[in-house]
Amino acid sequence: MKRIISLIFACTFLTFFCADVHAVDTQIFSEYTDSLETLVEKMPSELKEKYTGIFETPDGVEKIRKSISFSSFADFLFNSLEEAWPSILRLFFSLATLTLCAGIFHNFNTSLTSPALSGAVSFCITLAFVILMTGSVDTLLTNALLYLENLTNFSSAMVPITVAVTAASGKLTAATVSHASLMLLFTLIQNIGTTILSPVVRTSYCLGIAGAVGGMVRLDSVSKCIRKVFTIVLTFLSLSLGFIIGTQNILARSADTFSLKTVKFALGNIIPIIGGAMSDAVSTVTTSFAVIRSAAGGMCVLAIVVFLLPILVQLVLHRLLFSALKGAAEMMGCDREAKVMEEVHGTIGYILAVVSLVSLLFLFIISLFTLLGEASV
Amino acid sequence: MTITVGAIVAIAIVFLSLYLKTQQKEIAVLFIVSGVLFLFFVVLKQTGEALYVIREISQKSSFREEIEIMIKALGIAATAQVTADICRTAGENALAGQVELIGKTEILLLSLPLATRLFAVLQNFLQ
Repeated sequence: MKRIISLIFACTFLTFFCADVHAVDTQIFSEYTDSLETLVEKMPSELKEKYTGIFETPDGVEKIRKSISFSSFADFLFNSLEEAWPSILRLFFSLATLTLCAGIFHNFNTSLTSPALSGAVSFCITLAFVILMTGSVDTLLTNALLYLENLTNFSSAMVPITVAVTAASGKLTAATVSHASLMLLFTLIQNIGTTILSPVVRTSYCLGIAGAVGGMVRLDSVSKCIRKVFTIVLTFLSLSLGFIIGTQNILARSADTFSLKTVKFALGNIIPIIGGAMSDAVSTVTTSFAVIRSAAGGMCVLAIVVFLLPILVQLVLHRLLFSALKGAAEMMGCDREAKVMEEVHGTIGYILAVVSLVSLLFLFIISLFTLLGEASV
Repeated sequence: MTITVGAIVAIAIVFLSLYLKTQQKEIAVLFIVSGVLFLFFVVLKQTGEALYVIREISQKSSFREEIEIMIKALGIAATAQVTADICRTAGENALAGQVELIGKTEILLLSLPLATRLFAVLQNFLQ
């Protein structure tokens, strides 16, 4: 009987030696290739060519690391400038010519002693101006909405990979928080174009134009007020959101670090002989996932910068253009036309503010996701 | 040379009209009206060259139609202004007011295609 009991005990004890301990596969991306490839599909075309199939190569991480540099950023910036410059120059010369013609006509107009006649001529000149300005604002608004749509599509591809990689590395709390943050951001970007950017731009621009063309009712101050209020509200919302998400992620990271250290300790001390190796294997696994996270995070930052640069360059150059033309119109005595330019200048400024806020928030959240990978276990 | 010619013609007409007013007031008014019309046509001739250059520039741009409308509006305004001034000189203020009203209405009718286009553009923009 004693022998049987000893035999059973020995067999049970021997099962601990059958634990499956193995080294981490060098192809660390292999399980997540599909999700990462989906992420690459949603990237801008310049990066799609560079990153397609990069995860199937053994030195994929190194290639991604080398691609994220100041020189690549400068290349993208110069390419955006090169693409935007011809259309900006054409627009500048057209509007400068129109401003010059308007100035000449206004000078002729001032020689008319009848206020009724000079008012009618001014009205005619201002109408022509407004038609051409509205085209520019419409194009810029459409491009900004397209940018937000690209960001939405990209963030929808980011969510599965970030959550999967974070959860697989044992950081379950961080994965939950990361998922919640990204879904919130996804909802924000999806709605910001239709509920905040588009209606405010259209309403404030039409009010401003009505004031400039009509001349009697000063509606441009109303439009400025509307834009200012929405900019302040958006800034406050973005700061609050950034603070809350940042704090949640830091707390989640601390909780997960504590959990993983506990698991490591338990493995190292409870399981005899192979416990130390298993504990080290946990560290290796978490470090491997940190590599994936850093690579994916770096790629996402670069993708957002490449999405952002064309629209940012367009908005900044258009803003400078209309600022210069406003000064020229004022110099030539075209007050109504100068008001129209000021309205367009303010509208472009608002579009620039919204696009910048959304992009900064996105970059902040991706940086948080990437930094989680540096948790020491 | 045009300003010199214009100044000499205008001053000569003023002196002659001052003299004719003491003799025959109606002839003085006719004289002034003739002088105004003469100077107006001289200005038109000079302005025509400048407007030709502006038209040439606008032909190569995307706002040719707008420039054409602006030139026509200025022409209507100038014609209405000169006619109204002639009426006032002859002492007919009511006629002058009506001429100005006609000119203003004509300009607004001329800018109607622009207004229609602006409404269409704003409608697309708001949608």
